[in-house]
Amino acid sequence: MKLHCLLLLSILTALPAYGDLLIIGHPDLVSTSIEPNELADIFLKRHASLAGEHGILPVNRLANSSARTLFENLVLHLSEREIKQYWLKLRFKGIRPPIVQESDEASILFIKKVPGAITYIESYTVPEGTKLLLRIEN
Amino acid sequence: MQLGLKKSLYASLLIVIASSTHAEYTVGDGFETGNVFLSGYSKVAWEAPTGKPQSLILDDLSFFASVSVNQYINPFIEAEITKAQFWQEGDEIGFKNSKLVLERLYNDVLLNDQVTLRIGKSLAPVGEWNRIHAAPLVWTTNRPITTRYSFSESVSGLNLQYTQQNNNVFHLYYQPGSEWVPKPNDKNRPRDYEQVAGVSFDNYLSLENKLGFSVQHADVKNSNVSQWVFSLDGQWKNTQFDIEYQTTYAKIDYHSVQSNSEEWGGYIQGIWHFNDQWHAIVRPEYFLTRQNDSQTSMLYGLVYRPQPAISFKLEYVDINLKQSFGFSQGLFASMAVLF
Repeated sequence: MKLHCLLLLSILTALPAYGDLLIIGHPDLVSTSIEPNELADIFLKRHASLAGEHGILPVNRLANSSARTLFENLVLHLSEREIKQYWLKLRFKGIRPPIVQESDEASILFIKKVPGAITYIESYTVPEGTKLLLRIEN
Repeated sequence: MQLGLKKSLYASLLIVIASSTHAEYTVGDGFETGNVFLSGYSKVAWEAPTGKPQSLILDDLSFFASVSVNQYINPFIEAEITKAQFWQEGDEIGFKNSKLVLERLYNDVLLNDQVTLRIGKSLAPVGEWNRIHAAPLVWTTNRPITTRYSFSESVSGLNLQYTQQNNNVFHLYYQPGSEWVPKPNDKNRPRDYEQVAGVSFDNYLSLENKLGFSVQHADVKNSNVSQWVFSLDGQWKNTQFDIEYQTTYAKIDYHSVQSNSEEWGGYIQGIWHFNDQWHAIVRPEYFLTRQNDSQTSMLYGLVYRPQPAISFKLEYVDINLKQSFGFSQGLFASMAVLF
């Protein structure tokens, strides 16, 4: 019985995180919502501002993370190859991609501490100390 | 006040730590550590022009680096070794004729979220090809003459960029004297310019579809000639088929018996995507120089891109006449990688 419980527990912990795609930002952001196209522009470094708000800092996840894949499919509507091609051209122009965090925990900590920062997580609940800007049902 | 400073320092530290987070390296990612970014590309070309000896050339070995310190200090440098002939039919093996070129050296001052002031040597915003000319990112081994022949390819001075929320991008630039560390001239880059000033406008209809227009005024160095250049360029991308084009028209304010007061040309390039890796290219181009030389060329190419940062190209160029400028007729191949 104990072995079965341990086995079940290990399977559950190995499963990827599920949930909606939440776009969250620093709690002091003036904006209360964001449109998906605005979000795409910010993460593609086409803009660095929301309406009436400057210095928006997008925070990405690692390229192989499930949250990143979900974000690219639901918000950017681009394949991994298209995104790679896009950033190759922008790097050549001297523009660097958004900074990257390795985990939900690191992203959330970053969002809480850095004014203007926004990111995405896969979750049903909004982390304490962050502001929800958009929920995309998965 | 002190608390505010502490908060900003803490935020800056977090940003630097986050920038140092490393994903697994894939070709083209460059090398990033903290606020420093290093990258580059190389291109090796095999040329077999009709009636001329074949050759193997290290056409580009380029390195670029950028540092993001704060709003005011964001330097960028690109230097390259170009046209280093490694082998020519009937000749000995060994690098010859290589040239070291300073392509870009500037600092970006981010005046606000929409306005950037670039100070130093940068690429002139005349057409997309001039701004993104790295061999792995373009479709052909041979660059269209239209994208470089008539105007100053760089600006050594001030370049102001304004990005509108609706994705219109404006440039206003001025080069008060000569080009810093000028590139060596060749048959497709016949002259240097000074007192260069221009404006450009790019309308991005979507991520990759754009329409661009630019005007540049410049004096031709060591002459009493000045010129206006007007350029229109664009790209339309589709899943299966892309079209890219540029046309330039130069109005030259002095002409003699041997020269025209106009110079113009244009190309249109069709790219057919068989799949993500294999692509076919067709490109007709016409160009008429101020010396009254003209060239009509047709390029047929095949490109294999196993990854976005690596390309293998094979192309045949057919021309109507042999001229002192433009392409040679024949077969060309190249391998390029962005690292």
